[in-house]
Amino acid sequence: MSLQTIHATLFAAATSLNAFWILNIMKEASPAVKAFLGFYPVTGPLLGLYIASILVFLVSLVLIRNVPVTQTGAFMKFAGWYFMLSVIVFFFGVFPPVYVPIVEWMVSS
Amino acid sequence: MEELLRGIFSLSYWDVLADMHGLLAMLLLILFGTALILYFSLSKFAQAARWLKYTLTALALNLIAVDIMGLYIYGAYRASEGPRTLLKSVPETAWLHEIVFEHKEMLAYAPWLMIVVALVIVLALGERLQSREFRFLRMIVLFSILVALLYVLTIAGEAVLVTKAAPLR
Repeated sequence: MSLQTIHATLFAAATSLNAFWILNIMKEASPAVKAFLGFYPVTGPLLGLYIASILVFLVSLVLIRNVPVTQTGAFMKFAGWYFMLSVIVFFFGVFPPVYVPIVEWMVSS
Repeated sequence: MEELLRGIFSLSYWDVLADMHGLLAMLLLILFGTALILYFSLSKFAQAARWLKYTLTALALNLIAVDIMGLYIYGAYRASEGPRTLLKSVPETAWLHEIVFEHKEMLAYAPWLMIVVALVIVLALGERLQSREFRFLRMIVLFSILVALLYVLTIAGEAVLVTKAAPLR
């Protein structure tokens, strides 16, 4: 495994975490997104949310892995900080007292 | 003894699954402890990086298993006669579902991904992880293990809050 794979994994994981909380807000704000993610009624939209976010991880990993810029040390720093920041943002992004007001603002506007 | 066996065999399917889910979650704590000890032993003994790799692999698999089992149990939690209905039917307990459980079920997405990131770094660098050149990536490994542990502890605490009020039967 190369350094490029490490950098791409950091970037893809961060993007997946951000996709998860953004998709969650979108599902709460839009009945169409909720219906799309809730393809399996037993678990509701949660399973769709997990699958969509895993797909974002895999697709961005494949796409970014062969981009030459990911070999550089500067990209490593960027991807590393992007990952750590995304992990912290994720905790609050999926916390109902934080995302419910955002959903209400989106629905009202 | 007879009473104990009768009690165990009278547990429902969902009871057993919820207990196994909790058992796997407790196993995580041992693996997190092992991973942290091995991380801080990287410069102490030659095989530490290799054992850290094995521990992170077990940790990632355990986290994925807990998530898959959790998603399966979630179906029973959401059922019309399930704990969610019970919690939402009383205003005093509705917050346990709407805030605590909602956060728990979504926060569980992060730890496995963070441990996979740490594992990829350890797999790619091996014993080179100790070198000064990779200090930043070493810090990301520690960050991933520590924050994933904090998230797992938060999820466990939230699960206890919910199951105390409305256990899965």
